[in-house]
Amino acid sequence: MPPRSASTDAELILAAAQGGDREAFAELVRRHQSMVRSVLRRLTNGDAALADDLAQEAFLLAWRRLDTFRFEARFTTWLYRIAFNAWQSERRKTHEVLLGEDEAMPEPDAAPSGPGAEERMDLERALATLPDAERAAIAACYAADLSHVEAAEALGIPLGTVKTHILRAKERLRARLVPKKETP
Amino acid sequence: MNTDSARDDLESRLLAQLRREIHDDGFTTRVAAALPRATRPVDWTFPLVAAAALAGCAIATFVVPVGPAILEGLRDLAAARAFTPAAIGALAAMGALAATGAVVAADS
Repeated sequence: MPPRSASTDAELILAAAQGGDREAFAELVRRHQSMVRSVLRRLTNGDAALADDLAQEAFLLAWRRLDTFRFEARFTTWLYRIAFNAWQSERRKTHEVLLGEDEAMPEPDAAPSGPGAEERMDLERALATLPDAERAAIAACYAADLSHVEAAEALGIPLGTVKTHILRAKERLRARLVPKKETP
Repeated sequence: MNTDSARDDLESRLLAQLRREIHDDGFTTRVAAALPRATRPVDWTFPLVAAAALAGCAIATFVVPVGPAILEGLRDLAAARAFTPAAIGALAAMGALAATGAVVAADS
């Protein structure tokens, strides 16, 4: 038998789904844990402990549902959707998650004021200030490497909304990361 | 130009920050240890279809009024006379039915 690390994702998925091969699934976890944990750290505003709990929950759910994976989408898209749903369930316990365009959003240039306002914010902190919907879209397209179409499918929102979220998120990030300079 | 460079800078910072590899640090081991034992339901489709096909063969052989040739062939087979016309006919009929059943079962 070839080593697990030499197998493709598809071979591992089939082995785990059809034969209940736990080693094959562990190899899938090993390959994708970084992406799933990175996505969840973004969604949880950098709470690594909560993100890892949710990542474990997401992988356990993936194990139970693996026989429903139909190879119609990329495995990462499917995994992202499960991770996102896990985060959404957790989030709903305390907050309402709005993903549509009707979400009340702060203005893109609403940078924090005060003595340190002119200093460049750390990207992590800047990401944490984004509305949930925009952060989810950024996490999908940058952390999970999904296309806009795949992100729309995974998030269950229209393609145009994903593009809008990405555009607005970048505007906000630029406003927070790049210090504004006075023009003469 | 400043706008373009700011855009490129943001893209590269996002990619660098969000695609940064997170070390496993025992995460996979913890997930693997927490995996529940698979309780996958037994797929009865093949055994059921195959059993139904066999039952159909038996019914067709013993119940359907196809004349005395089949019974005569079975008697010949029982008496270890496999090369009589009746025995060959009985074998062919049962083989055809069994093959049909196998094809249906495999397709299901």
